[in-house]
Amino acid sequence: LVMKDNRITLMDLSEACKELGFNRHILSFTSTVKLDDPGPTVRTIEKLYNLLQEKLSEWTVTLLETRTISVESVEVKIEEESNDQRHKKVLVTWSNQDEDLGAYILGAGDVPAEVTFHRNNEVNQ
Amino acid sequence: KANVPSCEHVLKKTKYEWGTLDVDMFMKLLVQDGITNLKTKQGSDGSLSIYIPNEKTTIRIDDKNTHISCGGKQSLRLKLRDFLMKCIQTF
Repeated sequence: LVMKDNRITLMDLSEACKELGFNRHILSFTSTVKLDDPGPTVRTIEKLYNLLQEKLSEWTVTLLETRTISVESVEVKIEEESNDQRHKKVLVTWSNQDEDLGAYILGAGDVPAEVTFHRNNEVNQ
Repeated sequence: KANVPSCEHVLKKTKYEWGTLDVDMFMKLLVQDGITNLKTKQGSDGSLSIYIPNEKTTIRIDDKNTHISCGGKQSLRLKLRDFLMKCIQTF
């Protein structure tokens, strides 16, 4: 809500920033963890998508054509390690406003375990 | 066990960053915390990349964006996030 000319107006965020002379600065993160899950990547992403849909029932969880899972600004991609289909890398990207969601999706170590994933120790990319 | 974030809670506490990041202050906070093994690289587009080789972490900063890329080590990421939030204005 923005007060303009003595009237309260409902504006979307970018419009309100422009009106108020704020140059938004986007703070974002990409974090990577390793995951062991035999089978094709597409199957792993489906499992993760089904799990997140169930867990994040208040949120809209979307599986995009690019095999990316999206929840608000959070995007989840899975990459296969070279020459070994079992070892995969999960890349999670999110903006600061979605810190809770991003950290939950990335950090809830027991989330993948519930769908028979085996999570490796923390790794750096 | 991490709690599932609720829409209401996220909306209530959401803040937005604006303006330009105070890079000097950010660097100072890193050094004060003992993160001294840093490499910096100025991009031709005016961006600045800060590498923390020991942690394989990169922070890329330009006028409108700051992006942290790191591994699964959340303690460092959260520390960097905390520092960055001290170096930028919010509403």
